[in-house]
Amino acid sequence: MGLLKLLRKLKSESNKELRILLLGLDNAGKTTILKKLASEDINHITPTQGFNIKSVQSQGFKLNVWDIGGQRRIRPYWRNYFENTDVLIYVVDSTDKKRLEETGVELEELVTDEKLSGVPLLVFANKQDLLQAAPASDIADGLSLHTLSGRTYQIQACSALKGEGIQDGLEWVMKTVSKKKK
Amino acid sequence: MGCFGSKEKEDPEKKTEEKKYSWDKREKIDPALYTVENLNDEFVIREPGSIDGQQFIIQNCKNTRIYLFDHIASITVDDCVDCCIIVGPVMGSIFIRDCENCKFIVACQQFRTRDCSKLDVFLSCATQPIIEASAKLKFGCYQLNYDGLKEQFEKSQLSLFCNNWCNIHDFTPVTEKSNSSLISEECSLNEMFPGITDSSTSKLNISTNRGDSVVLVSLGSRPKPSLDSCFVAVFPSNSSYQVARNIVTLLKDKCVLVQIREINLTVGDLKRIFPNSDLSVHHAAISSGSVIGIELNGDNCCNVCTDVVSTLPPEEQRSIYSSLNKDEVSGETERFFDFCDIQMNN
Ligand SMILES: Nc1nc2c(ncn2[C@@H]2O[C@H](COP(=O)(O)OP(=O)(O)OP(=O)(O)O)[C@@H](O)[C@H]2O)c(=O)[nH]1
Ligand SMILES: [Mg+2]
Repeated sequence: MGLLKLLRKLKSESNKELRILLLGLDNAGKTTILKKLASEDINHITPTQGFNIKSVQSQGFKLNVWDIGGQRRIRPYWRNYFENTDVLIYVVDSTDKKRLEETGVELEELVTDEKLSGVPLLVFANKQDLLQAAPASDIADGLSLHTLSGRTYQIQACSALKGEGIQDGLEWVMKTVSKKKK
Repeated sequence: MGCFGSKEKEDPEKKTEEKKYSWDKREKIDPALYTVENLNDEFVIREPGSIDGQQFIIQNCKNTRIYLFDHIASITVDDCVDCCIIVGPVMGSIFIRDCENCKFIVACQQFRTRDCSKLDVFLSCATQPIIEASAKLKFGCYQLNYDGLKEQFEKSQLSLFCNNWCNIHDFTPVTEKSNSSLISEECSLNEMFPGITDSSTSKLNISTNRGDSVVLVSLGSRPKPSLDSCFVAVFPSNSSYQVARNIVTLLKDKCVLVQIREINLTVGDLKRIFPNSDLSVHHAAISSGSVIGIELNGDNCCNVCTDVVSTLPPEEQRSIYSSLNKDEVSGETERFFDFCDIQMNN
């Protein structure tokens, strides 16, 4: 690790700041989750053309959450945001059976990228409130999460719309990061 | 740190034992009731109450008419060809993928397409509609009414006055030619959507007339017919929806509706948007709801509009502001709608 990077890392640890990267296909619900975390209105969310960033406080940590648009055309830009990521949150639309494979391929790209190696992964199986949502266990199978190696991960069922499961996911994040930083 | 395995895997299971989410407790519903798929040359009608805010899926249909007259949580339309599809108000997104030569009437929070070609869409969209890898799309303003539609908009938390139907963002623009254009105003919805008002739906009182539409039909990005424009603001009251509608309807032979929006404003916002007008009489009202802004266009528009407003009942008149000064109109209009766009995108 370069000196500059090390210093930056030490600084961010002393301030208890975390850089969280929120990725996933278009329409997965990333921005809705971000806005829900910041207790903002979720009825008028435009599909993201670039990225959104918000800082939220949680258990004494300052979470800087980066939400990057998931449209196929702009996925190649995801990698510009990988640097210094503390936690990766990957959001899946649990009702989108047609694109379960596609979302798996994108996740595979992320977890094999060197810049994200060892970064804890939280998968949100979102939109559980909807009738056709597949259970989180099916999403885990579809994404072949069990084949991940060398990485702490968790899958959490949630509904950004109802606000359920989001906090449970965050708690896992905080627990995992505190353990790691000891 | 490489700790995956038993310890990490135990956690989620433990959790589901302790914790029951609302979806773990809900009664089982057959998804097939909310799916239309694999149809050829058919006609499907779903009446109000039959979907009642559930998610819906349409896939793999050919030359089929699918008219859903109910509100919906969220919908995907995949792999359809030569279909006519009407979708009631959608609380979340409509996502159209791999479809070709289809027609839509839809109101939604988000509108998304990918890998489509030749779609005609009559749209009401609360946010900026987006298209990706899609060509030959045409858009027109939503134009529909039937019994209970207004209530379905309310249940879907969609405003009747936030329609960005012509403000399309294309993720994959091509240089030669735009992937989206406008539907000709002469098009007849009754012809484009066969059977929409025939006997099988007569009890719903369906109307495709402009004047009847729940969403006021706006000009959008089409050229304005006149050099004269006017701006009207309707301040919150119990009847502001009706007041805004009345103004547009009473003026319909003399002015066209260019655009209409509703938004929450603070006193500070109001002062910035209308720096040269004293609107202090409305300061108390703006905390109780949203302000509706209306841009109209037509010869001698400001005077015509003032005349019409003066025919309304006094209590309605008190909730209305319209630019008396022609010089103020363009600035006020621009600042109001820019403010709406900024709010929408942050
Ligand atoms: N029913 C339901 N709808 C949801 C949920 N989360 C998000 N949505 C809806 O799904 C649609 C897409 O949500 P967004 O937050 O814009 O998705 P995104 O992942 O940010 O998409 P991009 O910005 O295109 O990458 C919106 O219409 C949301 O209202 C959920 O938990 N339940
Ligand atoms: Mg987004």
